[in-house]
Amino acid sequence: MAAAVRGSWQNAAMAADRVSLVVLLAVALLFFAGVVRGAGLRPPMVGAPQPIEDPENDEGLERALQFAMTAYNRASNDMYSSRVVRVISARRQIVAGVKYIMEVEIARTTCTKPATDIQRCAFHEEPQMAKHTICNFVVLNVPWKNQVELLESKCQ
Amino acid sequence: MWLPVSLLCVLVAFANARSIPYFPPLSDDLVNHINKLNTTWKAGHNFHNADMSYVKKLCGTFLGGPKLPERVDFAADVELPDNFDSRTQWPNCPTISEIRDQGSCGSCWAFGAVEAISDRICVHTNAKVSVEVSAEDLLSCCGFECGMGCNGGYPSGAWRYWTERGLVSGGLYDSHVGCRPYSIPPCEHHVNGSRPPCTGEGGGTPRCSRHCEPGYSPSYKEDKHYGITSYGVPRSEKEIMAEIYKNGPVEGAFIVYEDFLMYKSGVYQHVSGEQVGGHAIRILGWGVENDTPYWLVANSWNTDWGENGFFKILRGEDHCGIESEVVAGIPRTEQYWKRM
Repeated sequence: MAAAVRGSWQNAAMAADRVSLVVLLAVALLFFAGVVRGAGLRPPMVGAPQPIEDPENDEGLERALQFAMTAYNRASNDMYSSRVVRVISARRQIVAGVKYIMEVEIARTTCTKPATDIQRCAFHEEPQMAKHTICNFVVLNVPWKNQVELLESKCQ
Repeated sequence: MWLPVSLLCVLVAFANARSIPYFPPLSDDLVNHINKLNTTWKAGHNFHNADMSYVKKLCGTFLGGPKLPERVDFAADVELPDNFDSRTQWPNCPTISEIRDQGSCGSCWAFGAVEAISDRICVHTNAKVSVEVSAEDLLSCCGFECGMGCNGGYPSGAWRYWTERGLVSGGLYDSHVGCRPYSIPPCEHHVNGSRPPCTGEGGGTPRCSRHCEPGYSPSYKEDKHYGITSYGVPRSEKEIMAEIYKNGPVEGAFIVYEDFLMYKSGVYQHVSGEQVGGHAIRILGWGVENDTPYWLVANSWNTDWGENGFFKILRGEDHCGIESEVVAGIPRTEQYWKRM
């Protein structure tokens, strides 16, 4: 009985040790990541997608998104145009050109197609009309060839 | 020094002040302004994606992934010329002049490696063996040691893989040259382009197939080319020069900023634009242009980018990290002597 109690106490102590080890490791990792970030060093891989630091003020991203939305509206069966509500995530990757990999929330506006200045269109307020959708777009921009292409467009 | 910077600031303020219509013709203004900056390089026209939201004069330095053992110094014993171009030094090695195309895949790390490996096989066999080493084999079969395939990778891992597992031959997309040619097409506008559109392969890494393309005669296993050793080159201008001079082109990496995409000619140095990410390339020589020292570099963006696919970049101050991630290796040549 006493042995069993001692055993479970030991187990608990070991578990606690393990937990603190995990916590310590996590703290060390976070610290290291912080140091790396703070020193302005880059991720080690080349050719990898990188998060866009300031998606609200990134002209390249904005253009890629406009391109994707124009294509989306052209292809959709909706009588209203949709536009972006918010950018959920945005990354940029060097290939033979620049790839923009974006996840966005879009919603239906009150403007019927074809809308000319879609950024000024108000969103539908009523729940049955306001259609919110999450979309994944991949846009490739090859500036030296004047080429922009929507490589991927998945909405649900 | 300050005049161009303040000029750019004014330009930036101007660019920010205007609202952004749908893909505006801002490009020509921007290209003209960069060209008027009187820097060491010229931008090309038709640039659609200039981001002038901030101006950065300093180029970041580059930190690499897994490290290869560093090669011992030997530059002190070598007398180096002021200009050196591997293409003219080894005229019987055609791969040195070749420009490839990575397509819509983040496989620059594999291209820089197989291009330099191809060159070195020729250089170290006195042009008796000339082979295009397969980017496809490296990209698709290396796995975690090399990183994440089309989502980026490690040049050092690529060279190590060559020594451990070897690489088969393989040419450009649709070339039917070698065991495993590249399977990702170059991108081209659908309209009257000779190349196919790049849609339909949304960034996926090709599958590792341990078979050669139908019609290619040696087996996959027989077609492997190996390296004896791979190493990191010390972060020194002279050591990198000595390495290229003695053993042939090397793989390097640097940080790409948006202005680099507009490069057309001259010696590139970063003047504006956001950081796009790390990019690997093949360095094949050096020189001096209008008193500016440069590295001569091959990109993998086809021949319609830059100077027929090549570019020059500032040498001697680790600009954008170009001197800090140089890797190379030596081919195992006895496998060829046996065959002959």
